[in-house]
Amino acid sequence: MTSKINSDVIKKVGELSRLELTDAEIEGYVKSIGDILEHVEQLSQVNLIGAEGKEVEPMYHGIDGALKLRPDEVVEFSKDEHGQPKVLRNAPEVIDHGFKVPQII
Amino acid sequence: MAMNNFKKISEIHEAFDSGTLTPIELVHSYFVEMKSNPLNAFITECQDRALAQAEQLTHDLKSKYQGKTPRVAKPLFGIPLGIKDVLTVDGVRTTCASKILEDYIPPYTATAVQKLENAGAITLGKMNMDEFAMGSSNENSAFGPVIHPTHSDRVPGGSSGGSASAVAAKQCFASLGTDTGGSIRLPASFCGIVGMKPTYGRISRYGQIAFASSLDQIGPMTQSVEDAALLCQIMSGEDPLDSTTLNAPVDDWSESVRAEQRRGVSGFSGLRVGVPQEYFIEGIHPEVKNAIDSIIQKMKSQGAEIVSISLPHTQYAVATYYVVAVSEASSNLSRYDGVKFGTRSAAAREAKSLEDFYKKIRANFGSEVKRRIILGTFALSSGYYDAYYRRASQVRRLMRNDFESAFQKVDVIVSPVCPTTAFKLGEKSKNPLQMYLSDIFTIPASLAGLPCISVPIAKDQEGLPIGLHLIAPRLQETLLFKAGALVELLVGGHTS
Repeated sequence: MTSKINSDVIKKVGELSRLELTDAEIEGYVKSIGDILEHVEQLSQVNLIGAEGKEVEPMYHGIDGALKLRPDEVVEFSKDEHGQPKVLRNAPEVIDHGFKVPQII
Repeated sequence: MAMNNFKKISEIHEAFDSGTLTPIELVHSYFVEMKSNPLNAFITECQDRALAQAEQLTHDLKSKYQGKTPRVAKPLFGIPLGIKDVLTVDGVRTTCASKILEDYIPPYTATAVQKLENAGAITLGKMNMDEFAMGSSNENSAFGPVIHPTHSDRVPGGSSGGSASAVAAKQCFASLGTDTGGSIRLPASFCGIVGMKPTYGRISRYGQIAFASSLDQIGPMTQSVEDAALLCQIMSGEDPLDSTTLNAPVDDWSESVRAEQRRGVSGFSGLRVGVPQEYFIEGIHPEVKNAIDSIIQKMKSQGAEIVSISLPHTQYAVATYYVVAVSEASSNLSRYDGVKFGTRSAAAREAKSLEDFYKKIRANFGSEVKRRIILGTFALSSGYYDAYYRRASQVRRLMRNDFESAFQKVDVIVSPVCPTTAFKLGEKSKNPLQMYLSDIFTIPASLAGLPCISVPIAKDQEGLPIGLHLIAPRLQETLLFKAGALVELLVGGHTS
């Protein structure tokens, strides 16, 4: 699988990840990600068929069973000392109590 | 005694009671140390906020509590802590050691931090770390590397490097770290302090900036097992703000530790200690191996039953972890789109398309973070998902099964924390795979979600600390802390 890593793959995955990569970065990642995937390759040796002939169930989370749910309720924003919603505190730009974004569409 | 030289919370509270120390004097002494010894352990110092907290507590101690520390109502009364900069504090800059969050002021406080402050703790500052907790040496910070507390040419370990270095160097009394694959235990071992990661789900992750959500856990970094137990029990418990927290009873773990201390090393009698044959691999430094062998012999001579066990999938741990963790990271870090928070550069403001806008925003990620996003996106992409993410998640299940079988035969498992002591700055930073392999002993317990602790047991010839790694079954923190306390008694109870 390692041979699948070349500069075109890194460029394509960079696009999917919305990352702009320089040629030097691409070259570096071809090497380091290639090394890592070569190490990961050993997972293909693991026997994933259990005692009863069934495939091992993947473990996707650290806890067993379903996650707890809560009612989907509207709650008030917490506000700062000026009565402004704190969630706007970090907005790069604000307009009329909302998040302002550049016009790019 | 220098004012910042306390090793245990009980010593500080005795000094408060005797009138020889006030919270404000204590906080001052840590800030003096912080400024005199530039380890780059803090990203943000919270001097005004900490002094205001300390002033209030000093006032309360005198008037409200008649000079007697309220140990029951506020078990952390006046205790100065460092908080890893991955945890939010309302109104205090939280950067995650990333340029992308350089100016981020969170609108809420992490549950774990809130619980500690409610118990009387004082936040001295936000600790340096690897960017987004991705690293094992603390060299991946946008705010520069953290320096080892005693050997300036060495790394403190990562990713909670600032939290570890500052505790060892007495720049804060104790600290919070976070651990995804070893990020508390490794730096604790390198710096000679105690570092503990609880069972997955014990401590709320609300306010912890996510790296790999099925692995991330907050934990204490302290100068004694007893104080680690105290901090852990205060932070633990179900939280409606984190749906992965467990509804499980939280015992008085610090009292369990004190009970062991009263009983002494005879507590080893009958304790079944598992030694995984796969953990004593080639490449482990002889001094580390000797230190671990020697402590195992000492446990045996005190009556512990030493059992050789097998965790057969250990060799796949690093491969499994680096698929699972990066896959989750690539998903978690997709939220950095520059709309609601984050640094928006002039280039981003002038972007001509939405894609270009995202790219300009995300140019603020550091090189290791980008590497992991790319790797994770690749592992999750169509055509590779089954071969990488699904397969790794299956091997993860097998690793958890290995532990479950082993714990049929033993109470706790011991191993080194890391194959080496603290390595040199720059030694592994050019070779990511070598860096990842430093986590080989800490990763398996992370993948299985088990509680584990690093306790300092020895130093190598250069004076660099060596830690012992103890792992207990799920939710068996009582057992873990007891075993940790016994090890501490065995080596004389000294950290750093």
